[in-house]
Amino acid sequence: MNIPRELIGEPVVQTDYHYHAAGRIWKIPEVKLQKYPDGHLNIGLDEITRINEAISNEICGKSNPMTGGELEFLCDATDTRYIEVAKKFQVSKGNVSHWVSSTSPISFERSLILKRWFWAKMFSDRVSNLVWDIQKVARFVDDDIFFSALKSVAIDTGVTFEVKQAS
Amino acid sequence: MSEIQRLPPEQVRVEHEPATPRYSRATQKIRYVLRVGSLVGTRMEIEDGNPLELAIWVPAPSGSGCGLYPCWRVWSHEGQSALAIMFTFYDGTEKSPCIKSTNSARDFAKKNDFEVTQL
Repeated sequence: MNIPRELIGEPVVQTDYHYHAAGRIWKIPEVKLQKYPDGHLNIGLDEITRINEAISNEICGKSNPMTGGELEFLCDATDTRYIEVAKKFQVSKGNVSHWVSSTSPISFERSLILKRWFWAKMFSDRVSNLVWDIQKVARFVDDDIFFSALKSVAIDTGVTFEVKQAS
Repeated sequence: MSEIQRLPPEQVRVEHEPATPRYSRATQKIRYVLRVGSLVGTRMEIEDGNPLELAIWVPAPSGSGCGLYPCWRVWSHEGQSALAIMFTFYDGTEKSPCIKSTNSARDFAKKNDFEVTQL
């Protein structure tokens, strides 16, 4: 379908864009928006997905236990229902809701499982060959090294990009 | 909603606002809105070129508490939906309305001049 120009808008790029997600503010190197003749800016689902993937990679690649805000973010970014998380851990959906709303971090052991699970949901089909290599050595290396390696694979292969927390 | 779901990702958009937590929640929840949302009202100015506006109700992911109330503008081209922009997102945060049920969402839509869809 050829969409009229007035429905497409003009591209606008903003750099070092501050983006709230998973309970903190991230600095996104470059964000593409569209500007419409009435002056309004908006952001497309394709760009939202690109940003959310980068933040997901950062969350899964760090060593800290996962927070409830991060779990909610990862569920949204991967379109995962709370009931699916509940089944993964053989707990009730109410338990998962509690993890999401709690101010305490999720337990270290559960965090490890969740990070690996969500990272795989988001990236493994796009970097499958490299992931197999990492999986082979996973049991022999520290968890921090393992998750950092996963994060680097997604960035180095160009599947996503690096984001940092805004200071 | 099915019309919006069928659009390619670059034609499903969120109106940009200053980077507040609620605006970011709107972008974060967009897939959930598209998957779970149901239509509660429509609104349209009778002029060519104006978009159809949709009021949507989305239950809270946890099953209780404030649900989500996004509104969309949908432009058509050659009889098909061509562009959808979410321009309102209420979820009870930042003093936005907290809407807890489909009926409340219908009432809220009616107060805001939407023609409420039939049950």
